[in-house]
Amino acid sequence: MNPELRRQIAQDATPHRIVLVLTVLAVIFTLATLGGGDSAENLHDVGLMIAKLAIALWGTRRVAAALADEVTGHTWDIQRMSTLGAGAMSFAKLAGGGAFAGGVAAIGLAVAAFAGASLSGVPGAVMQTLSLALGGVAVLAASLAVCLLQVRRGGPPQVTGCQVLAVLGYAVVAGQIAALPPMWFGLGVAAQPLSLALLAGAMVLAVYRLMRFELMYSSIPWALPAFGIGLTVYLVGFGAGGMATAFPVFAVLTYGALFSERKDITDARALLAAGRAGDWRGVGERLPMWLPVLALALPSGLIAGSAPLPFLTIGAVSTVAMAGFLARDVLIVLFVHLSRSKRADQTALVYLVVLHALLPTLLKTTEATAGAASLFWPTGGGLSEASASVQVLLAVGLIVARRLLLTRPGHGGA
Amino acid sequence: MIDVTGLVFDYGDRRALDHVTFRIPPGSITALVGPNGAGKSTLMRLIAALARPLAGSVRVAGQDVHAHPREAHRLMGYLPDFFGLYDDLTVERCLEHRASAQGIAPDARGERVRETARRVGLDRRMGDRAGTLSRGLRQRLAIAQAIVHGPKMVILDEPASGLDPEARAQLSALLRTLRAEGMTLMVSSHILAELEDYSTHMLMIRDGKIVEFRAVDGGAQERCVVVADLAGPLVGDAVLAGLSVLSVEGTRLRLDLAADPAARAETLRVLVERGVPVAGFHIEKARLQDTYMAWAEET
Repeated sequence: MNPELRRQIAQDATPHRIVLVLTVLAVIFTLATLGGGDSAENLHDVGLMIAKLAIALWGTRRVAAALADEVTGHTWDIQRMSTLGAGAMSFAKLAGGGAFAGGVAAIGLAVAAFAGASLSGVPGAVMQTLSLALGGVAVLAASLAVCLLQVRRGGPPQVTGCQVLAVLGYAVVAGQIAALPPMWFGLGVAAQPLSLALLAGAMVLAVYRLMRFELMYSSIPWALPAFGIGLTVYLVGFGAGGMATAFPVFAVLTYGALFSERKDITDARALLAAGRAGDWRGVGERLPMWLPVLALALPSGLIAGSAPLPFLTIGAVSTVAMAGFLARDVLIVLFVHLSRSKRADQTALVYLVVLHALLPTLLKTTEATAGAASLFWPTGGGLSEASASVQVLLAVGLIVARRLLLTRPGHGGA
Repeated sequence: MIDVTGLVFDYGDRRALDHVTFRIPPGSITALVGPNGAGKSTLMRLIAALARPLAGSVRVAGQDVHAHPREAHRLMGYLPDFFGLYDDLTVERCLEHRASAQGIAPDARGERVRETARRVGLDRRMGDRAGTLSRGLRQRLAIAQAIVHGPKMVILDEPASGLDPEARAQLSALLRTLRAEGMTLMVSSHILAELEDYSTHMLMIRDGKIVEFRAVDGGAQERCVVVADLAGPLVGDAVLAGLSVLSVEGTRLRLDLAADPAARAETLRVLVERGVPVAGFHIEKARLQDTYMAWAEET
């Protein structure tokens, strides 16, 4: 048996905890059965509620803590030196951290499925159970992935932050999945369980890839671009346009990777050093995750032109201008990080909110300035595209100026 | 055993290690010394393949640790300066977990765990939870975890910090035993007198640069100080002509000699032939503390 899985289970699932939880569950289900109304319906609803709460409130926390506690407790470095591979360690943290909560959720789901079969038939109950189980795996893996990203950034992991981000992110994605049409490339599909299965697979893959990084395996960042391409193809199957789908997918992935990764001058220097040495494998290994997806986002935005974006209700926009604004935003984030401020990401976020929301909104408040809103909003036409180009150049200029300032003799920079 | 070549590591714009190069022979105990912030822990983490350098390489037993970290980890044990234990687990479970995580076969695991516990003096505490152990016992358990898989080399970052004198003496004895069994050790500490007990080499680091790396146990190529205790005061300086005299204080004559025994025998013969009343003749072991302080003053 995986030794780390065994340790996790031994520490979490102590006999008295198991007895206590089973007793509480028995009491809840007994009350649900004895309560007023249809007892099967009560059991179904209570079972579902228990499963959802066990995963969302407890499982996501335990899974993130399985890693966070090791980092804060100074045991993680020793784990990193064990002979467990990235797959074994990912499985141990995911299955071990989520084992107890997952067990409770499984009991809830089993009760709900059993009761649901008498209400809506076996196929419906099976499909619902399957969807919830897949969703559970996805949200647990998302919580661990967020925690791994926090560790990768170098800061102390925050369990509650991992939990909240994973649950909120899952809620948003699950909402989108629920709205998907039932036809995929002309084939009738069970879009929800299929999408949840793919989401769970993607989240588990994310955990595995991030774990590889933690365990010092050399990795080239192909997984995120591959995920973006796969997601684009998947969404196109539901009727979305090609490049008009690719651009928002890669743009969202770029922003996500940009804000979740460490942005340190040391990493940039190592990347440049590998390039100068002609070590292309080293260049690949040191590439930040956001760069390959940005490299895919920009051309897809330029090619898409002004095609309507799927799944978004922001009206007609120029993806060319959006691609320009994306490039500007990336440059602004890098510029702010040159200051070495500990709150550089937060500062950059403020700048982006001002540029994307505050300025266009203010300009739109009066008729005289409404036209100028296109300077910061991709409404199409030449103005927003020209403005995006100028802003990209300005952002490049700012980075060059700050870098020159930092490398001036006596400044202490390098 | 450890070949470090051109190692460079930066923290932001601060260069923590600046083209560090050295080679540690197998079966040695190297004391890594230097002031706070010199780069000792960073160097150890890089050797342990827990961080990736900006440039340079580290080879342990011929294995490039950054190209093949998992393979290198099989060869290594590491005790970080701030270590943690699984407080809810017993000593036995802690060691079992580490042994199985390091790939020790199940049929050999029990014996290996018991043997390791015996070596660090925890064999009578196997049922105690790690969280209930004293600081010294926790340190021993952490060291036991680092050596339970029988690594070829062990890196210990400040292993004696917080230990009482008795525990330090036991730690010294353990490290000497490990060396005698063929392990190569690298140990950092601020307590130089303690390093002196077991170190064979000293690696001095300052501002991320290696200042000196040398043997401290009188290797064949080293110089050493020989003290001749005299039965009476010397009469005239002529009897010392041609000898590398460091000092003459009363009846104590200190000579700077090559460390090889033939040179010492020859010197003793010359002294006796010239009528110097030698009553005793021994090597004065250079104290690590003195060497370090002399170096610190120079730099």
